[in-house]
Amino acid sequence: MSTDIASRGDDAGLAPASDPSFDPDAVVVTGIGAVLPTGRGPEALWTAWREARPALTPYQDPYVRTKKITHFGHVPADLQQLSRDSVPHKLRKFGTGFTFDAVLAAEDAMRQAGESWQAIPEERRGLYVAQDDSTELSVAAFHKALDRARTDTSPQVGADLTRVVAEAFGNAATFNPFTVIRALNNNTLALVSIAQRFRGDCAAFVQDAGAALGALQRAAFSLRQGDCDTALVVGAGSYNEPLKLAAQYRAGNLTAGDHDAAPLRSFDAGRDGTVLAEGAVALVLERAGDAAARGARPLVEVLGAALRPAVDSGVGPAALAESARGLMAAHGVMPDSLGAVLADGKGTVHHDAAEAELLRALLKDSGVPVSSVRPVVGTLGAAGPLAELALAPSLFAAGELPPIAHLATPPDDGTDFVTGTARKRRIDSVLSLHSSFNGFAGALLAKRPHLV
Amino acid sequence: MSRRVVVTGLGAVCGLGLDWQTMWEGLTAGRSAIRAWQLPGVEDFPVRYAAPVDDAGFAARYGAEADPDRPLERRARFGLAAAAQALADAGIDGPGTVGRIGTAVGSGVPERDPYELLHAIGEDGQPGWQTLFGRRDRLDRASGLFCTNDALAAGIAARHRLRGPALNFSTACAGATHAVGHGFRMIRRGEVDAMVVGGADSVLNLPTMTGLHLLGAPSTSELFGDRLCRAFDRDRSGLVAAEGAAMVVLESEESARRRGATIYAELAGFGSSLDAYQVTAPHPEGHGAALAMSRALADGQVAPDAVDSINAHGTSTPLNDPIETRAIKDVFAAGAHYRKLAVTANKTMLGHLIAAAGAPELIATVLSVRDGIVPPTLNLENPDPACDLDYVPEKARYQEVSVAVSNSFGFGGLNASLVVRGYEH
Repeated sequence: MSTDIASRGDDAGLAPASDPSFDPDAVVVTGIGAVLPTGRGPEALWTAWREARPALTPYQDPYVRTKKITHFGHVPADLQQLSRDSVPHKLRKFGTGFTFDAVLAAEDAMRQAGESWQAIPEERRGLYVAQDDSTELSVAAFHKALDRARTDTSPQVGADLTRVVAEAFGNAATFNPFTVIRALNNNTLALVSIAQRFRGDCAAFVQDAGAALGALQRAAFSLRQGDCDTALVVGAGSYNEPLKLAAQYRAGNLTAGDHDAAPLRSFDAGRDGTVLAEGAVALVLERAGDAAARGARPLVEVLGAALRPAVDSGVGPAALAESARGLMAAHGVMPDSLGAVLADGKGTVHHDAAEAELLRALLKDSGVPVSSVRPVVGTLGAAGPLAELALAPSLFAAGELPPIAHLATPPDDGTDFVTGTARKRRIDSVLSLHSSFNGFAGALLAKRPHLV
Repeated sequence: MSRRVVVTGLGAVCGLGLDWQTMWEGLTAGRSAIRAWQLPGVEDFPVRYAAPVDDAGFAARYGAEADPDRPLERRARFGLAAAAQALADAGIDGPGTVGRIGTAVGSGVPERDPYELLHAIGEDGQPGWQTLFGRRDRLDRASGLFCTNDALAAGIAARHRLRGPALNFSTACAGATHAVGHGFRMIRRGEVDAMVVGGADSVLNLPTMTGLHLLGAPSTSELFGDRLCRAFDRDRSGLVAAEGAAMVVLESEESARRRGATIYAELAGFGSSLDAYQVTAPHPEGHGAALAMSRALADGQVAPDAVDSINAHGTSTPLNDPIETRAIKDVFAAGAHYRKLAVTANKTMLGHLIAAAGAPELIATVLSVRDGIVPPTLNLENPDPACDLDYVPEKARYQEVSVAVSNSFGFGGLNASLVVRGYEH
């Protein structure tokens, strides 16, 4: 199922009449904000990618102590603090680390979109959020419960778990009264709307990377239908929560960390698993005509997205390739005319093998180069697709596709994986591919914006 | 392309019954699912009333979904059952019956098993989580470790081979209504031909109920017994938590007519908004709620004075009830039309299904339009002076309902409204 993000609306906007090729209803990005393991802003991500410099560090957490999680894409501590400081004090008790990252990313995106953007009435500002599943409820609260349990006089901790838990949970001094708010999966939507004054159309999605594709689709619907005049799309989340980490570990998806300097080796013959990460990306979307009318510079045009559930064995790589091909055809982009493909490249044996098959089916002998930013930034959940969209302006401007970091032995199957050095090439369009751990797969298509 | 969207299938699992017919019969008869309840294994938990699903009945009727060995959350079991019911009701019995079908569901807080977590951190007496990774035998396969928030959307798609979009919304108590609205828009635009939409939730577990309790949301009063949820009443004392699921099949009019499906009603409009005010309180003047209703009416090209009834969010909380009343008055101010509206609060009988709440309420709204019956607001004995609309107290009312609005509002200031219209070709 492909979704036409840039369908034409009825109201024509304010296009310059002198340029017949200008489409005032195209959906364009005019502001980007990012808080990622690579640092603040899309430029930090781009630089790290170009320099093949991973932002994946040894895993550390005050509550989770395990040697089985070797690496993680942590947002740097000073940037985490900056994110927290960006949230109004009265809101902090309701948020988690990644929702604070989202607020800062949103602030940066709106700043780049320009001051005139602020003239849009609050009721006409749409907010569409992709958030990772939160298990906030489980971390600090349960740790405190354990502390209570240790003072228990019963002979064995855990002998009467029900009583221990009930006491811990029934004690407001032990249990943060706002824990359930912090655990809500619309937490990011609530905080960004309040902090940045969004009162219009809204939605929040939770389904790993697929959430961002859903949020982008919904934002485009609303822009096209006139339900809003600007749309802020935010993806935020973290895999750094015990149950998620344990689930991925048990599923065999995580690297053993044997390649310490390059723990995530997308598509490499020596790959052994992914590295999970955290962060937030925010994008300001608007109709191209509106952006032109207020003098904003479009950074990238978003053409469309495809998202499919893994229904049965019929939805394998070939079917997904067909879905992506349909998405491109709907917008007049054929595989051999693509500027670049950004592969998911999780680095697990299974996911990369399936994606390599997808790429082979999709690109065949087109010669389109394929890279992946994953070895640098790690596997992001809800923020992942938006991070790749955030890289598109740099790809267009630089005219080069950075390599897949540390890819020494790529699959020998005809796909042009970029290795070693960046590939010089004019890039006018980008296809990014995404698969989730939860049975969804999708694609996102963007192109160089028309500049007036 | 803009197409008309109709409702062709219904499914529900809730405290009032294990199918939509029983639920509707209960609602119109003024029966309540709210009853004395105890959090499993906790004797002194201060919340003493809830509207749980009948576990034994559910297991007997929906064996596959009830199977405890399946790695599914409780809410997902209810959701799968409701989706199967809705698809069967619509006469969609497999791939190919209708062109392109997708699913969109609303979900809330994932279930987290405190036993699992305490086993993980407690048994070696160390302040770490290492045992979580080592003790495979102690972890429940049906726990949060394996159950993600979007498992229901994926599960419905997989079970029924729905190859269209599968989306999971998480907008607190407005989740199901957002999911319905999104599915509606996708069909109207021609993206798909049909969608299974709705929500499923269960908060009747220790972590979530405790969290809600510490926020002061659920009622701890025992003064009124099982007549506890008292929306718009002077003596309202808070929400009463419930669990369950409801799903509807939305379909393009063209598709429904082509295959001769029963059409219950038309879904005509959807509107959403944000309060941008506070996380735990709605805007005091109801701006966000009014905006959502106004947008839904504009979206459906329905004049406010054409509306006959409103299925209110009606949580029985001190903040919601007067503010929702005010918002209704603002939207339906012209000609004081609000005086003519029949306003009903289904939560007085169903309890609050949290993220799923909007789904059974949509079904009630659809059937209200079809049957010309407005279910009552139960337990409304002493109306709050600030709540001065016609809330259809205590007994259902037979009246023609051509157009109805269904409201859902959530924590964080998230609002969504749907407009349902009687179907006329």
